[in-house]
Amino acid sequence: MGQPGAFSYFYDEVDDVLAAAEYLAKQSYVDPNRVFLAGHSVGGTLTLLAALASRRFRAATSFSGAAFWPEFAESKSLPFDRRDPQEIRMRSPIAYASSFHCPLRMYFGTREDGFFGIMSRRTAALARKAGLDVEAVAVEGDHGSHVAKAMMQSIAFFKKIAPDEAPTGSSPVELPRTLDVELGDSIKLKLVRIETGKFLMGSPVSETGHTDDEAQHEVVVAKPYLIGIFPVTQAQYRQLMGTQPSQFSPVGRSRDKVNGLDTDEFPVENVKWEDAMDFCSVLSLLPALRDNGWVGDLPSEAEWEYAARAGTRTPFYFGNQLSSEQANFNGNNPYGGGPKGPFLQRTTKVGSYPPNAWGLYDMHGNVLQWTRDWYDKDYRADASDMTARTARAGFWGLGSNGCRAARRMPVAPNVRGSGLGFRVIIRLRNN
Amino acid sequence: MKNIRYVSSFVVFVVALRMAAPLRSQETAAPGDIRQKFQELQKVVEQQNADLAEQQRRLFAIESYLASSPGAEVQNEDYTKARSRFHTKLLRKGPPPDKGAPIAPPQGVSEVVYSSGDLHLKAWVNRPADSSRKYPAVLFLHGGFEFAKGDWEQSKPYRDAEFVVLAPMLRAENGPARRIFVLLR
Repeated sequence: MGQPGAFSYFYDEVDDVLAAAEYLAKQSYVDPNRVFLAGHSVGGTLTLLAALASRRFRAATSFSGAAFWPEFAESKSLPFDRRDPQEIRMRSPIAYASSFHCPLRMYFGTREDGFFGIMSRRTAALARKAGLDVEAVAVEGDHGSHVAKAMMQSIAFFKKIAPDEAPTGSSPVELPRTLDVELGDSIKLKLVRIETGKFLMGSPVSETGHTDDEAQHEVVVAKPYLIGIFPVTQAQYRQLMGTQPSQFSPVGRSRDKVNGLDTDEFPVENVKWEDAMDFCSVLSLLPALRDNGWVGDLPSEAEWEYAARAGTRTPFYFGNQLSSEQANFNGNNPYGGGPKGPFLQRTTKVGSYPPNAWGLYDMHGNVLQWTRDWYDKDYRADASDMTARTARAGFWGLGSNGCRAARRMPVAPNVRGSGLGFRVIIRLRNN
Repeated sequence: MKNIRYVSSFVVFVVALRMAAPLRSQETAAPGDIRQKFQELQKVVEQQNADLAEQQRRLFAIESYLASSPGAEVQNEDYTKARSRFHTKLLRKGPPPDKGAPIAPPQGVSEVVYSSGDLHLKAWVNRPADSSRKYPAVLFLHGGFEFAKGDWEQSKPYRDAEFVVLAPMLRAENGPARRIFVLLR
């Protein structure tokens, strides 16, 4: 049996490449900060496309990668409609040469200069015009025979970009009060620092909706951290991971519910727990974090709830009532005698409702947010039953009970859904 | 226009080589070697001609592509953004054009399974013997539309330089050869 799926000729295969990269980065024997990308011929073209699509890679090298594929102009048996120029553009690295996400060397053989030389030099020139570290390099030989020599150059290039010695020498820089992480294409990830302190985690038995996994107890937050003021958005996720998993997006399963809306700033959803961790892992690669000794992560349950409460002890940071004028949930089920309100039946742009005292938005409703903790009924850190991670905040389809600050949702890590997203934190490395 | 000049200078070069070949061999070689020399040079000329034909085919392809999609070079949009708004519409669902066959990994190479969306796909990886360390890694993408042992061998310099190499098979690859696409509806 061969591999499952349908051949798309350089489009859906890019998703496979990105998935393989995440698999590789997760292996215990792999340094996730030093994952490189390389490929020959067909694989060279996919290398260029994947370097355009993702920030996972520290550097990339293509050997005879075609910046566009000449068969698209000639072949009569393509699996897609070549009369649609967008179908061809999306398969042509040269069309997006200004958005390579990592340093790149495009090697080609001197004997194939007529095609690969012209296209590689042109692509590199366009990329450099956009300020990127991209070069076309001719190496003695033909389509196949230049690879061995070029690969030695590629190894030197990779080692120069990310030397073997792990940059752990200097101690991490202190976390700032607020931080905007530039993700490129004018997309920013905004975070604020949460100071150390103590709080009462869980809810009193008297709270409407209280369940027996919410036993109230004091928790000390011993280390400061930065937390995203919004859940991670579709644009941010796409910017780092190169994929668009969300159902409420122009290409998602529930696109009819967001017709005509720009969903860039809607929360990303339909992501597994590992997808969220992968995002954190790529975020940690950005110089803005790496050079300061910071890493991206998911919050622990305690870090999430401490930040959500922002000093309050009520079911919501708004107090004892919640209506769907204050948060995105099923407005037919308000809390604490609040008025009924709209039920949108979809996610909303992040930050559409008032924030809490610490400047955080969407801590009640919109999307559930993965935490890094295994679910344990009694909040034990050494949970023996590792079947579900805890998600927080409720989501657009739930009633108000499910959106309380204390509410805990056990979700199996491989579950995806249109109400399941995440929020990141940044902490000091080795902390 | 540059391309055309490039092609025509190539033609001149090949023609000159053709004319020069018999003359040179007469001057320098003993009579018994002439036939052999001539045949060798003829082979060179044939190779040059084949190369030239290939270059012309490619250049024609570039030109027809650029002519049929004006402005394709200058997308100001980020590729990731474009991807997030785009779904390819497949006219046919089938395997890639190259012949493929399922293959087993050589000794010392692990075959693993990774998930891409709902698909479970195979990959080869060289797990290091010393697993207490974290190694730099190269995701290596094979040439052609199927994965073969030679592709794995090609990545040897990376492995020799102490990189972990993962070589993935991609969707629909390495199945039984089928050149005819199955029509969707």
